[in-house]
Amino acid sequence: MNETNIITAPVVTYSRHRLATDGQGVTTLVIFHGCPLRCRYCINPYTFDPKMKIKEFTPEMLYDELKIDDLYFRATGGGVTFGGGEPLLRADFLRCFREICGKQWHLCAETSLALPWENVYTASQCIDTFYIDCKDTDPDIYRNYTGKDNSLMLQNLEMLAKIVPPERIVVRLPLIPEFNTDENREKSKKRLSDMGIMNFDLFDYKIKP
Amino acid sequence: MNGKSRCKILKEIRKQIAERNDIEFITSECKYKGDCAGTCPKCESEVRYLEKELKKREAIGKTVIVAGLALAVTASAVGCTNEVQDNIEDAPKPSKDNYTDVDGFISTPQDFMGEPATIQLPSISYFLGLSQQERDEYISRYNRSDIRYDWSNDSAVYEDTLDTFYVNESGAVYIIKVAYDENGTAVSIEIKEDEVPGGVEIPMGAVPVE
Repeated sequence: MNETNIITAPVVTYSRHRLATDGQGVTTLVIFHGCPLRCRYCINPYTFDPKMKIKEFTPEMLYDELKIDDLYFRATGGGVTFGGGEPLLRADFLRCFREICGKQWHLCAETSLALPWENVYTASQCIDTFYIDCKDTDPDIYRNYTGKDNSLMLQNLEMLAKIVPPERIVVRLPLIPEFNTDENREKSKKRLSDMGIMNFDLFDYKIKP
Repeated sequence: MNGKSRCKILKEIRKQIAERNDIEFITSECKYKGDCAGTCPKCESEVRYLEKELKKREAIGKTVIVAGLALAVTASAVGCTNEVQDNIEDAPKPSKDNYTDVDGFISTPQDFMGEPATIQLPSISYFLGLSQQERDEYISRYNRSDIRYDWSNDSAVYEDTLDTFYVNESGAVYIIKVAYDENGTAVSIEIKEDEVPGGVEIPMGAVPVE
């Protein structure tokens, strides 16, 4: 049975020719619909809006759309970054997509890791670089901001760090106004460093009125 | 990063792919003014052209180099400003090998001696890449009323072809005017040599004559 024609994923949109924002080289960002979290300052809240218009793609359909930039991907070490929403909810889709696009495209995933380990493991076999939105390792801060517990995210991160090389993981630690402080962020960084995480992206949320 | 900056980077990538694989590739400076997404039908057609040429090379057993050859271009995009650098010095320097026609200019095979010739003018950047002697030869050749210029096939060439501009090298200034008919076909070209007053510097490709 050819899975590439059966598995589908809801795509909200995709954005071509991204440079220096979603990984190395020229990238296309694919935004999936659906997310287990409800972050207070979510940058893409339409990704969990049930009324959002989406299009269901099979891996082959998506590849056919994105291959228009194959030359740029190969020349620059770029490829496709999957975001959303939560792209690892579509881990089987990503696996099939990798089978179609081959090894030359660099595939990234921007994920919260707040989902079953099986999804994370499947993604670890086909995603080159994980950008993990940790928010904060403090459980209260995490719950206040996302509405969920962070123990699943931390367990997944610990296991992922054991099965993929450290250069394939980048953990994003934001400074979120009214939710955490620099001190909280430093504590998160220390805890994750002890876990074996070596790459961090520290940045500040800028809240627009 | 705005669309223009993005376009410039993507064009540089295309240029590098062409150069590394010995693909004849003559691009032109984008004259579109205003916001854009960083790509357009013309840019996309250049990519399709490169893909086709690379496939041809692969089919005859030639080594094709693509993977990772433009890493440095995108690495320099980090921290890129929003200014589009229109640097004439960065204009591509063509070689005579790029052209298949006699006298080193792109044209359909026509008899220059007496029959009207259809000629696609090279881009400004090409012209500026010529030596002074080559420019003199070009200008003397095209001061003829029996030469017509076909713009219809490539609007980008039309946008980027010689119209009225100064070339300032060693104090020599050339003023070129092209007259068009009602169909937009250039019907005559007038080239005048003028002198730059001492001490005055005129930017390349700048102010029109009027």
